[in-house]
Amino acid sequence: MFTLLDINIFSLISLTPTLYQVHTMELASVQEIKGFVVLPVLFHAPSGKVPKAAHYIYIKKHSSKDEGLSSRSLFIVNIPLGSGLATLKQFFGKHATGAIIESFVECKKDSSINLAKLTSDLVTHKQSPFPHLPNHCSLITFIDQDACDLAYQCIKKLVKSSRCPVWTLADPLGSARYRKLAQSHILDIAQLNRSIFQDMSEFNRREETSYEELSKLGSTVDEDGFITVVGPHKKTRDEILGRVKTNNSEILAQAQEKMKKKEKQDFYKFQIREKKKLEMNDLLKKFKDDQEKIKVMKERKRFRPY
Amino acid sequence: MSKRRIDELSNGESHISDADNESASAQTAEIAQQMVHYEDDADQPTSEPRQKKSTVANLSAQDIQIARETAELFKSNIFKLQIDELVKNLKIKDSHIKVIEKVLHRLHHIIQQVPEVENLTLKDVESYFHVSSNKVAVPFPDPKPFHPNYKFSFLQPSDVSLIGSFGLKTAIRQPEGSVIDMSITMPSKLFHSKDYVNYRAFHKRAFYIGYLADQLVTLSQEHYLPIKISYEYVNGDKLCPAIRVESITPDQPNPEHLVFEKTKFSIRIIVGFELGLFEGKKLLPDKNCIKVQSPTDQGSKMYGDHDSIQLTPTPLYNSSLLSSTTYSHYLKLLYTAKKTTESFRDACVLGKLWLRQRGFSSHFNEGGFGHFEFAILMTALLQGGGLTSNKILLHGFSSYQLFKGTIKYLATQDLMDEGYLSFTSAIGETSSKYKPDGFHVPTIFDKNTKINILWKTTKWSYETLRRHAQQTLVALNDLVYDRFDSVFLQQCRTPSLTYDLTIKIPLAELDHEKNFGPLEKISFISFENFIKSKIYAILKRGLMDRVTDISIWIENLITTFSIHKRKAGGPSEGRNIVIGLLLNPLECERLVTKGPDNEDEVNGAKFRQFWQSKASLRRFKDGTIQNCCIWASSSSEPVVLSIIKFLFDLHLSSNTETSISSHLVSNISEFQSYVPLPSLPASTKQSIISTAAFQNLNNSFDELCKILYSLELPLRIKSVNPASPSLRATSLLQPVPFAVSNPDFFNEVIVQFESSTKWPDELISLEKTKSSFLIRTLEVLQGETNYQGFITKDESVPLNYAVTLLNILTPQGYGFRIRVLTEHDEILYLRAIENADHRQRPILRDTYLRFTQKYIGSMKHHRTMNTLAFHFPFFSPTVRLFKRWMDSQLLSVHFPQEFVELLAIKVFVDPAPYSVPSSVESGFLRILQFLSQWNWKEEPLILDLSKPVDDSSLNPTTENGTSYIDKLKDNLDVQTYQLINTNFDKQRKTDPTAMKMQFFVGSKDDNSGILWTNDISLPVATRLTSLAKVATNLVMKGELNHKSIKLLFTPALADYDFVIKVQTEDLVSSSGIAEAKVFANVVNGRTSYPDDITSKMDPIQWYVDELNDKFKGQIIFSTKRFTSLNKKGSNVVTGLFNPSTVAKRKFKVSSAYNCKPVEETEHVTFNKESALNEIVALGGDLVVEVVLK
Repeated sequence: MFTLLDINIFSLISLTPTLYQVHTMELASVQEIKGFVVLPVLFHAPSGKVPKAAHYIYIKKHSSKDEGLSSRSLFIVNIPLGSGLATLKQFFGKHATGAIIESFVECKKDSSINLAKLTSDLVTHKQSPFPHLPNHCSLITFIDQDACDLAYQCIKKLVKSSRCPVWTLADPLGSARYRKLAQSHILDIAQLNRSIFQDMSEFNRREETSYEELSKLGSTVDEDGFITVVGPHKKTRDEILGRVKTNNSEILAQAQEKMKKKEKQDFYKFQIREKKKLEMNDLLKKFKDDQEKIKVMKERKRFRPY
Repeated sequence: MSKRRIDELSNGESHISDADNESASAQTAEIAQQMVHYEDDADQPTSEPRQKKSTVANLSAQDIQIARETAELFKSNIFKLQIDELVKNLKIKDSHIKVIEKVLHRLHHIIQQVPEVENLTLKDVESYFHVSSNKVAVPFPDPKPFHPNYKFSFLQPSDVSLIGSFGLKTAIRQPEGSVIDMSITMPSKLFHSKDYVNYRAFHKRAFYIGYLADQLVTLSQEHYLPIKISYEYVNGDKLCPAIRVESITPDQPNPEHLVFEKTKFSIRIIVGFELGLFEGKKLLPDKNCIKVQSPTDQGSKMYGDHDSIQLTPTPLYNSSLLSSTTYSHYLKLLYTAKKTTESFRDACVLGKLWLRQRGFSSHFNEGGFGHFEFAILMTALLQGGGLTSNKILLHGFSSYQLFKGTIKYLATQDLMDEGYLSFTSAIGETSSKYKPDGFHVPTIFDKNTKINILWKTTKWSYETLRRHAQQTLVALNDLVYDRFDSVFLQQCRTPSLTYDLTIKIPLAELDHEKNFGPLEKISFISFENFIKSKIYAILKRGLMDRVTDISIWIENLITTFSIHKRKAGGPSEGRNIVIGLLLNPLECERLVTKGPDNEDEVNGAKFRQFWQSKASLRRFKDGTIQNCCIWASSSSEPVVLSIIKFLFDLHLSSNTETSISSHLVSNISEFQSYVPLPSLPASTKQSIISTAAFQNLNNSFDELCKILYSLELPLRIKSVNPASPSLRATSLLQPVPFAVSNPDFFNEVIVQFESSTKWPDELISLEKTKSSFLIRTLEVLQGETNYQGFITKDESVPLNYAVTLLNILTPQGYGFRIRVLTEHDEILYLRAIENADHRQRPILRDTYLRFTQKYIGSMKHHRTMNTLAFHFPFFSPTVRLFKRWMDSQLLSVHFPQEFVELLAIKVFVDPAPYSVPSSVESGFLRILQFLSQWNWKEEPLILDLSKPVDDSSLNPTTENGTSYIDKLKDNLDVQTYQLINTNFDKQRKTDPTAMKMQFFVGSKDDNSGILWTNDISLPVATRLTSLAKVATNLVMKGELNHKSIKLLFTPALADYDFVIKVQTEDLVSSSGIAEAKVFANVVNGRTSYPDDITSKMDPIQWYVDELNDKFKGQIIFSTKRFTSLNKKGSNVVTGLFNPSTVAKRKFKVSSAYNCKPVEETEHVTFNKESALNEIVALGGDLVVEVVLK
């Protein structure tokens, strides 16, 4: 890895074609890593502000249970920041003409944990609208498998050719980008209402089915001849059958403590003696602890008033 | 004889018999009884039941003995151990003492070699020194003798002894070296009985000293003692010169040479008189002993009237003379006390250190209360000291008890106005009593020698001393915190940290001639004493209860002067007189100074005489007509400063043309100018503590609450809780209507509905339900009122992407942001943690913590801070200045505002060793000092955020018991304190190097201590500390001025790996900041909201947010949150690479950072260069220029 100083020198001669070679030659050796094709690109960045440098995009054919999706999608790691659908369309339009993109998804949030799932067992197989992706990874879906294959082949060719294509960001950047982002934070109320209505009716439906199951449970006699009693506030099966609450141990401890309080502590002589002994030990222990503390403080040179 | 004395004293053997030995044991029983009594206010679970050791067989009896003893005799075990360690640490090296003893012997030998001369006339004296090659001048005090009718002589001293702390063996190690006082007594036959008048004795002594100095120069060379000799005024007393002997390394070293430079010791030879040489009665403080002015003085005839009893008393002259007779006498007294009281020595050491840390010493300029005065007071209290001569201290007390008892006495007994302490220094006699009716000067009167021990202590320094004692007493009585640090280890002498307001006046600007007449000369001796006392009188009268403490001293006082000069001083150029004030936060900004009623003519005339043009008559609301002065408040200058300027011009200027006020130097306005002003009418005329703008916002909030409560919704709104800095007066920018660019424009509010069982039992659906409630609220609001609003999404709780907030724009021009909390939320978050697998748990815990922060912690924090902000008027401007500093150093984006406020409140709720700050300057600088000193790794910051009890309860004994306890009810108790401590220990056990979490701030609101500090990364945390260190260094060196203060608020951009200069828009007026150079009456405030509210938001913040999100772990981005506060609205985005990312790693999809492959392996490394390209490309038009390191 070169230092910043080196780059500064490079940048001085960055317009000469030799540098272009320097980059490409350097990259030729690693074309694939762990099944990913390594595609180096150069930014079409505002020149002069920072030295130019190659950016590496890692591309792989997508594999997922959803065959329809995976066969026509490319899985991409480390896509340049600020790239959107427009940027990708432009890139593939230039380097893989004919590979028409259907959609582009970039995962910006950690979606591996689903809070809904963790807080309720009503949600069993809620289909997320997006494929499950690791953070900061993205997925390009083409209109069909052919388009996808074409794009992939073109990329491979690009890599083999040791050429370093230019990556042009076509999506809004800078102030325009953030204005749009700020605006997108303000939600359209009608749309929000609709989506809430949808989700909530879905939720209610699931809740109802769960209720029904429960009421069935309440009226069936199991092998041993028992009936599960269903309380009015219980909504799911697990709530009734599963999960021993951790609080139980706390309650137990409280009860024990209560019992102990009732016991007389200073009735027998031996109790008093024991108590005194404990007190003494305690005092001594505290004293030793304090001495230890002072030792530590001394080591930290704390007793220096100036 | 005298030689033996030195031997004895330096060997620590007594020539005073240990007569009291047996009485000591008899006292033990008495002590045991009194001890309980004495300690019970302090106190603590001392009273371990007394029991026999034999019950515990397996423990070491000695250990138990020590453990129990310390628990009883000291505050606690740990306190005793700390004191022991400290006293050990302050000990002077034995090797140094050995060297210095040799030096003292040789010096003593040299003095014995000095030839005697007798009966020289002034002419003889002059010719003697003229002839001598040493060019020594006789240090005659002013006025110089003129045709004296007495002769000068030098005879061998009748006594040479070591006095002071070295003689007493209570000397402590000091960084600047220690001074050993050697007293030489002039034989009594050199004097006549009338020599006490008109400087005669002083002049005779001056010759004695001059002659001795001259001889020492010659003889020391002969005796191989290479020394440098200079004159010095003993404790700044210009009547009492002494010889200062310092070691030098000779040019041609000789093995015979005795060099003691390395010990950093110097010797002060003080020349004294024999005890009882003059009649004490004639030298009482109210007697006049300077009957004739120097003949050159024209005024002498006027005052030269001998017979009049109304002669001006000359207390300083009298006391100086008398105390010169008592050097070895008091040493004997203290020595006896030391012999009879085992812990006397240690207590002296503690007292000496305590005084030193607070800038006190026996020197005139440093309060006139030092080790000597402390030791004498302690001795007097061992003899008695109570109202009925009852003993305040007992011989069997521990060092801690002696120290605390003395401090308590200082704190609770008024030795100035209400009464005085009278004792006798005659050894063997014990009569020490507190007598009512004081002399209005601090007094500890020795009946034996007729000296007021506190003759050098001025009124103001005594008041300061008392204040320190009171604070220390409170600290020592603290049961929760360990106050050892603030009592002994921390020094509080730096003026800009200690005082709320410091003012400097060049001494040269004060006219000597006009004010300092002959009368003043004899009663004040020096101009410095006179002007200090005059300034004090003016300030005391003019400021009244606006100030709680006044200190006046001369800066950079030169202590020694050359032996070739008669007197010290000379040009007062470059020397300043410094005034340090502690302000009363409730009174200092008051606009009216009330005087006497109109009917009270005598006092009315006095009032008008004092205030002159400012005095006026006013009718007040209650119908009374009173004399008063009206002041104008201003945002740049405290009212107190305006008053001082007015008064000094009036009373100190020599003529009307030159005004003293233009020479006054104070940094306060400089600091106040960094607290941003709102673009509201007349904002420059608002006092710095005015919260008018905040009040308007609060009114608008109350209005909104009313409406919210009355809304017809499926569930009624149960509570509306604010959680916003602007609503608790701690936001950097003051709220201004329609100022939507202010980053704090939207005030977060947490709403709770009536409780219901119908909330969905699943988190995301619950959020959706909340959203629909918010939509409903918005619809009703928009339908029925003129409030506007919109719904935004919120990502402040990670993983929970369904959160929405209701933004409300009120017709008054303020913004509120409503968040809904249900009683079900917390359960669900906790359930999520419970149900998660191992891998997910830490992430979910973080989610839960963030939820607690946003929904519960913020609410509690707001409530607590709001109360405190109301209680401490200067908290609001101070925290705003501190936030300004954080922002100008690019730090505020990294710290939650709550955390910043907790740091700031520290110096208010726990100000020790200072008092509660009452100016933005002292508050701000103390926050920085606290940050620079605090060791986060090893110590938890535990704050008691309860409303502090009133000052009146400083002395718990004077309060009636129950109400005092009631007041303390809310205070942090020992259990909570220990719980937080335990939490800290746990935290540090899992993370001993504090890499993950540097800061820990616990309070009753947050026992975990990490609520607000969880997300702060180590580099950012250390940067805060190091920046504070740089700033504090500047303060400690006393280098604060316009330039350096500006530097404090300038970011150090060179430290970052790269700096991006960004394009900004002009958001000054839309942020509600008053623009400089805009006429006060042309305030271009807005009166409506912009059509698109997002158009007025600062895109830089969004940019940095996105960058931080993408490069989390690799680059730390910083920027100023308040773009509009900078000159020309400039801003930067800076980046700091995390060094650890440079390392090679295996390629992983999930690690997701901008990486480049490393040759022929499956490893990758961070692609710095490309990352920079990405950053710049993303910034688009925002990026103007990039500067790489």
